[in-house]
Amino acid sequence: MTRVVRGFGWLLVVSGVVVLLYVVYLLWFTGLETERAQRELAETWSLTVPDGPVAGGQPDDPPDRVEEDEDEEDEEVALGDAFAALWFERDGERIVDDEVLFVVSGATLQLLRSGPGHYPLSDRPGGAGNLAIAGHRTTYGAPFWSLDVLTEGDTIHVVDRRGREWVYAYREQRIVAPTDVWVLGADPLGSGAPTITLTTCHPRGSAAQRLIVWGELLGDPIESTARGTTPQEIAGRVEG
Amino acid sequence: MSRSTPDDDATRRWPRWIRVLVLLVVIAVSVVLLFTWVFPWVEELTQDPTIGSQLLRRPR
Repeated sequence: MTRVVRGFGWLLVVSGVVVLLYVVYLLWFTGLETERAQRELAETWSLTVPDGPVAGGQPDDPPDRVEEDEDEEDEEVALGDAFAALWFERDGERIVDDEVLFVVSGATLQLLRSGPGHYPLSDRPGGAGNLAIAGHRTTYGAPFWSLDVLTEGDTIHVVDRRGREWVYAYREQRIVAPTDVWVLGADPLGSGAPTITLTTCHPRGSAAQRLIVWGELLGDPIESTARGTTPQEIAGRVEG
Repeated sequence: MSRSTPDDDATRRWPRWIRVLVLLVVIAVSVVLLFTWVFPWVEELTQDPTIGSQLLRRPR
């Protein structure tokens, strides 16, 4: 009997240590994994994307100044590859994250370890529909840790794979249930304007709810390439 | 009823190398289970920033 109790005690001690190590890994070491992935994405981005205002061009740059090339517009980005570059500005200063975030194609938990991820069936940057991106609030570099600091007047900048910078004006944020797929619809704000939707965990460290941030495109949109026709479809196809 | 002595316990114990082997196997299986099943499940539960994925996991 004593041996059973002692064995159970050791089991609890070992379990406690394992859980503690896991928490330490999640909080500190996952960030290193994301950092390395972002560095690699930055390298491939600089090789494949034409010279563009990746590191913060002027927010009022007209996005339609670059000539269209429809063949390239329909280019399929492989899952896990760099899909876009993303950052946030307030009065010309970068907020939310000091670094430019490279968005990967796809939004599975595995892919999100590399950085924010694009919902594959949502629209492309600058598209007339809804461009949807998910990112971690905690762990894996926590790219959207401070997403809630965005307020009226802030801008969300997205550079696509052709080097075009698209600027979205912050409009609204809301806390919703994880099942509220309507936020990924073509026009979630009901304004008719091209939209960007950013989704992340809420509260920090929990996935009980989602923080949703919306922005609307400044400038003229290009034709939509959203392949999902319903929010359910977009939410359900995070793997592409 | 006779009580067992420490000597009796010692003679009933498995050889030391078997006990070490069993312990190593238990640790190895636990680590594999933790990393392939438990930790991904915890991560899905606490770190999923996407919308709608819970609908996919819900049994129909």
